[in-house]
Amino acid sequence: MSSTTTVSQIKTGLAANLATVSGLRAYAYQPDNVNTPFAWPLLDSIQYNGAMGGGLITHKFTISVVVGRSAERTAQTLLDGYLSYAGSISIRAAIESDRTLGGVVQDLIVESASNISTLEANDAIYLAIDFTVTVYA
Amino acid sequence: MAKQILTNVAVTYGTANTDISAYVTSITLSSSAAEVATTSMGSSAVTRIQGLIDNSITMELQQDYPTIEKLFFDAFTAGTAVPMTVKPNGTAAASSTNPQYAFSVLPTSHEMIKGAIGDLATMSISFPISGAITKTGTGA
Repeated sequence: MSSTTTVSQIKTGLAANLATVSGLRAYAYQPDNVNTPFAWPLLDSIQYNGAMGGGLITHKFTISVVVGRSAERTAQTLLDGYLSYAGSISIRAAIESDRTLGGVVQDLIVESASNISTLEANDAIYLAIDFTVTVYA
Repeated sequence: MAKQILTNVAVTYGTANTDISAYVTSITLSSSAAEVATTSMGSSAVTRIQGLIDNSITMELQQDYPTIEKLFFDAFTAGTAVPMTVKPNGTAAASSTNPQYAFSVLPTSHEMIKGAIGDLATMSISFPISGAITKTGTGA
């Protein structure tokens, strides 16, 4: 943990937690293909020296989830489930299901979900949502 | 060594010299001395001498219940002075650039839980030091 934990380990751990959501394709890095629903973590910032001797490193991630075509009712229903605090497809619950990411970090918390938006790819419009996650390594 | 940024203060606590550095976010080790007036009749100005020295340490720590909280709780309930060491630049041998300060603190308070929802759990320590601070290190 701490100064020995790599960013790759954290991304892999977040993807593993996301993969516990049934039907969701989880990646450690942004995928090339739009094959919904899928999710991946993007590192926003790192705060070093949170404690002496590299004792705490704070990582801020945005986990983007692309749900499906915005016009489809199933996509909108899926989005509701993903955004719920709890439930079998709750993204928050999945990310926090193993808060040490297999023992590589100290703790993590899903701060918020925001930026519900649409994105255009391959001549289709998709629903997307961002989750803000703070990881303490 | 020139002016420096603190990133690697080495701190040990307890008879087992447990390294708690990775949990420490801020630390202040300080000394003060009583001011004893020696002014007498006929003096034209106040005169003083240094009285007894009083030392103390304050720290902000990140909480970890199996290690940090247990360590400090056990010491608090034991109620006796606890050895500590502090070095400003890591665990390397004591020297002029990395002097070691050794002393014994008296745990007079203990914070079990501190923090707001969503925050990292923390703990504040403010202990009086029992006795003198011993400074070591060649040229220190």
